[in-house]
Amino acid sequence: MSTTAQRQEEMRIVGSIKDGNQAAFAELYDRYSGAMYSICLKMLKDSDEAQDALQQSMVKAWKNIQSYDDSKASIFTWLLNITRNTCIDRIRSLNRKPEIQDIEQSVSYLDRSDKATENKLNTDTIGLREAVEKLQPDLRVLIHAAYFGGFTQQEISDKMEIPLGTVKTRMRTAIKELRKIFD
Amino acid sequence: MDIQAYIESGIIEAYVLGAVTDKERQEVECMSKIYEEIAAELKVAASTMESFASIDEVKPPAHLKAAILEEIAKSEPKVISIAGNKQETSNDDHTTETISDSTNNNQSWLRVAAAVALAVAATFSYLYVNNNAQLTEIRQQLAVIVDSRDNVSQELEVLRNELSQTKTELAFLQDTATTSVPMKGIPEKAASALATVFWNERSSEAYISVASLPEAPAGKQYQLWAIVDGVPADMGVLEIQLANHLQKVVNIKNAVAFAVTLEDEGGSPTPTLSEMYVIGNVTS
Repeated sequence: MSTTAQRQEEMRIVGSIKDGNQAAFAELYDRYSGAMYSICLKMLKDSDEAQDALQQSMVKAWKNIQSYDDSKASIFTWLLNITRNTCIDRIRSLNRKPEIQDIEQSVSYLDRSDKATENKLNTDTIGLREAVEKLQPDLRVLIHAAYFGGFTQQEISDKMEIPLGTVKTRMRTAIKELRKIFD
Repeated sequence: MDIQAYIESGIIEAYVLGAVTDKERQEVECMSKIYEEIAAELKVAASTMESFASIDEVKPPAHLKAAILEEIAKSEPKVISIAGNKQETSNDDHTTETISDSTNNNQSWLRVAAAVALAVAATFSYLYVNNNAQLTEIRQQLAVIVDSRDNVSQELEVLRNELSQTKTELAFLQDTATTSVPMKGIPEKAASALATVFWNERSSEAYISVASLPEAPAGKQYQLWAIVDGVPADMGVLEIQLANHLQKVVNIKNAVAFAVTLEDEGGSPTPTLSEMYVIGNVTS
């Protein structure tokens, strides 16, 4: 998704943050906090928890920016991973690992909150969102269980009673289908 | 290493979905360092997940930004920096090394420059050595895997040969033209000894199976004979490890009896009749 110009811009921002520049960090926040917050909401199902998790993720990112390696992943992917891991840790410490069937609900939590508070969702992406909703249900469940539920392949295989090999091939298919939507 | 198979296994997708174990995560990261194709695949998959995460952006409450910026203002980023920050704005005192500007004299400038150069060199050599060490380790692991695969292939080859031999033997035994000739122990030598010759009259092929024979003394070996037209014909010496196995022996025609004698190692041209252990007649 990132063009060369975007990539250069990102590298400039990251470089400044590595130098301790807080204004650059504010820029990073403006770019990515929306996607990060959305993940927190989906994973934690509670807006107070989600806000705490976002704050914690952002502070982690600031403190650990020196360990960010741009040859490994883009800054956005790095932030998404921090966010997911922060939420997974919170879910664990709250001792409330969801059931897979609950994840579908937690993801649709977002749609309900959307109706309650308008203008929060990015309207440019409605079409893409609809396309993702139309994804085959068994593929969508896999993506949600892994990405928002923090389940491993083995856990998904056990809980959904699908052979591990099938989980693996479906994950590949799922990402390919997503890619078709975004390309 | 079949890179395509690795890519198609779905492990990269599981990685970007966060559905891998720590071990698998390290593996994918290692593999993507070694193989460009894997790195490229990983990049595409990660970018897909970025798009996926972007479609549902929700603006966090405005007060949160202020709270976060306030919190980071209080905490320094952990710096493992190799220094080199030219302009420092604020309260960045101990964690980030700063090159202060030209108020210092030239000598201290040189010292700082030298320190920076040294730090840069040390970091690069650390990264280089570290990467090399990882690569060496991966290569060693790969060699071990290849080795064990070769061993398995060899074992498989042995099993295949055994199976094919067993099939041949079974077909031979099931052939209606094959007769079995039990050879019983000579009472004076070994009353309980027993061996059997399986002989196919049509093809002349023969096998021997030893159920029980006293262990041959050192320097001695058992030898199988057929009686053809009243004369003993050499059918070869018996191998040592024979228990419950069939041993192929020399083809023979018109045999009326079979016998085993104990001979000097390597066999003898004529049987030592006083050393006969078992004998059996062909009954047609």
